[in-house]
Amino acid sequence: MVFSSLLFIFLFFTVTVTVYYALPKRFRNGFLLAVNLLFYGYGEPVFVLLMIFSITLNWCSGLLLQKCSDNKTKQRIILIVNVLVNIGLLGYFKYAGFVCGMLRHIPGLSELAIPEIALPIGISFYTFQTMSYVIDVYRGDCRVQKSFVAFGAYVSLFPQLIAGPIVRYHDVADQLDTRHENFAEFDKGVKIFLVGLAKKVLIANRMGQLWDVLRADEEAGLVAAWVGILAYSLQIYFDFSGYSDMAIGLGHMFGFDFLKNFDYPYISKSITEFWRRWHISLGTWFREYVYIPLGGNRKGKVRQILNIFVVWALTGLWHGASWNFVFWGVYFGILLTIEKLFLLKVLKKLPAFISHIYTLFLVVISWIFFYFETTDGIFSFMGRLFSLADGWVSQNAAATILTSLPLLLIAIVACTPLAKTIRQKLENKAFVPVTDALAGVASLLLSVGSLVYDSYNPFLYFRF
Amino acid sequence: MKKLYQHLSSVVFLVLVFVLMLLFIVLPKQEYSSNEKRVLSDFPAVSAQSVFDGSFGTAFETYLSDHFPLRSFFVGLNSYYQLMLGNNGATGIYKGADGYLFSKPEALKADRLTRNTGYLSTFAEKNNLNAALLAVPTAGYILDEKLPAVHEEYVDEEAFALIQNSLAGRMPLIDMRNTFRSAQEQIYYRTDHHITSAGSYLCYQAICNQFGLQPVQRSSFSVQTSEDFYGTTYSRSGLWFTKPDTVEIWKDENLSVKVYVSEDGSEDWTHDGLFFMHHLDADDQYPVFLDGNHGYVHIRNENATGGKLLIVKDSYAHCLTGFLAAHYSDIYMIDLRYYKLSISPLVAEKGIDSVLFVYGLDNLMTDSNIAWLE
Repeated sequence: MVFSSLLFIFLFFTVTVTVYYALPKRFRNGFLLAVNLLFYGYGEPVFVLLMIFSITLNWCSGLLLQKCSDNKTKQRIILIVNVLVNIGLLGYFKYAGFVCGMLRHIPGLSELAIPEIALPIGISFYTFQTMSYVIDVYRGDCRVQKSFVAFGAYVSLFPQLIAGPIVRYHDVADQLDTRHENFAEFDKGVKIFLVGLAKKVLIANRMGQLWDVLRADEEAGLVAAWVGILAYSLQIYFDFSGYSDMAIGLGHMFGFDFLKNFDYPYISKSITEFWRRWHISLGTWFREYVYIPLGGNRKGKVRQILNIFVVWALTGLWHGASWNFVFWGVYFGILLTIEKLFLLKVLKKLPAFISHIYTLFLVVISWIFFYFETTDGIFSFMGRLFSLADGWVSQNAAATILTSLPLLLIAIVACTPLAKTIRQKLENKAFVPVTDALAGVASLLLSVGSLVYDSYNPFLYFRF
Repeated sequence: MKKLYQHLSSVVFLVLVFVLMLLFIVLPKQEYSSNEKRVLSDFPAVSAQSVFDGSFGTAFETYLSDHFPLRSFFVGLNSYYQLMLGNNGATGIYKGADGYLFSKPEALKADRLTRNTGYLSTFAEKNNLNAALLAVPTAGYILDEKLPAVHEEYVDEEAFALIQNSLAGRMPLIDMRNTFRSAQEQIYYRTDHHITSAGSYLCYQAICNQFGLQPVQRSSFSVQTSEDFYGTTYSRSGLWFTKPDTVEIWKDENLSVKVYVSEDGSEDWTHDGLFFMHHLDADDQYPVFLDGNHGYVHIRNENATGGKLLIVKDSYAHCLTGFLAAHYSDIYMIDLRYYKLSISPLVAEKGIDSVLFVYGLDNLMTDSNIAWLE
């Protein structure tokens, strides 16, 4: 189930919120666990079993770690086994096909069958969450969760189950046991949710359509190719950050406080800054559980650069089981290394607009590696970006671009904190509740209009 | 009270989602959507299998969006919102000047187009028929001055050139482009993709010219109008505030025909006269002409002296076929989308001597049923 669907908003949400608040507090985690599994199982019922297995495994691992708290060796073994099983599950469901495909290049294995394994939705997200718990317990960064129900509710928590943010256990440990749901938090959540809904349905879906049209028309010309990849860049951002907003908003409605996942990434002045603002929870996870344990920057420059590349190859691979994602990750690894070595200092001295153009250019180009899974696809699209073989822009592509231009401009402005700044200036004005509510109603009704009108609602991050 | 005002966003949000949910549960479910011309989905069957393979979930979501409360309000809201954002054509329909709605252009499909015209002329040659093709140009091409300033290109120019090339020396093409361009009357419906009775009359004249017939004078017809016609481009557009169109029924009082209708040539039921007036009370009025889409329609005129005519067509033919009934004792009108038998035996059995192909240009470029013509 996705949030940007009629089913979620009008049936799942309404029923869940009603029952949740009707129940006494002590039953709420149990209820959440039940609806989480329903939410998850609605689309792919069999994978609920996998989810329950994962919850049980990691909950037991936590208890075992506590039991062996006086024996570091035993603890270490438990941790290693746990991480291996977690990674093994993720590897089996997500990477088996990819690995077999590679093995086929080895002489004698060329006939190796490539298994067709369906990817359980959200497995990349919840596997990272459960690992964060076990590692935190092992390190003594948080206390063991004794309640199976509370732990299960955490792992399967429906707002962030499918597309993050990746909530580390120690960030919500207290909220699992005692939450202070209240009207003000709820109201805050509704507003964030509706902003996210508009981002996803009114902007990302339309940008996706624009990208599809301009990409498919191979003779559309150079300008069309650039507008196309720009539309895709906007689609990815509004899709993903819109979904994160909806997750964070829903979290507030049920008394959870998740950390923000996107912080206006497209206004960055360097790639380093971009990755501090883009998918923050993933970057944090890799820093905390991979980069720093590998030694981070404490073991010399060479080791640091090696660590950066390990992290970025893994980050790329996390996004998808295919070489283009590895390349995409390494591309950023290279850029980040160059910036660390000297470029960051140079960028700081340059006028801001040059840094912005530098960053945006490299980020937009990176989405080509992200989108196209084959080198043929990448090169032929690159060719369209940098060659006038098909002219500047075909007449039909020009019509497509012009009809989308108002929304493109709105989307570009919405990438900046302008609206947020204006809204903050007005914070204590008496009319603000009315204007907020009107904006919210507009977001809801127009999104519902769009959802009712077309079935064009594929959610990009389902692949991960 | 103050607290409610401070949190107005969530109050309004909760009211809206709960009211719409209750409406969905309470309101009676429609079985048929006349705007979309389709049966809406039933509540999906629940079984262990359908729940566990996820198919129940998918079907239920379709059910929910099919029966969502205030559905046409939301569709309209979306259409006007897109229009306001400058995205004229977002629904596949352009809003043009003077209340005209246009289907967006199809891309040129040269391969299918020439194959289709090839099938048609081969059929005529094989059966030794006196033949012609009438390809009706698109409304957007003819009425280009009414299109929105920003629009994609209609491909009629290239398409007609391709047709002419592929038919050269095999079969005449009846090309209405110049006639339509210079006509004073309303040739295309504003809210539908079809041509009006006036437009069909012009086609009829051109067909008569091609087949050596003397067309019935325009003054012989008495015209009856129906003022509240909303056609298919209207339904697709979601632009509910568009003003309604007019359907004209051109009746020749001296003409008396019987119409036999079925899907497979068995002549299941008959009807007196060319016009099926009860459709004027329905949402879609275009089927007033020969009852809309059927595989097989036979029009018998006992007083006519001409021979027997086969019309292989799409729905653009429905109105103009009526005019031809004055000349032919029997007209057999076949729609290949529904009629799945071979036609050559029919030609032999009935003693048909002429064939007229009538297709809208878009259909001629995209239809995959013409390949089955034999």
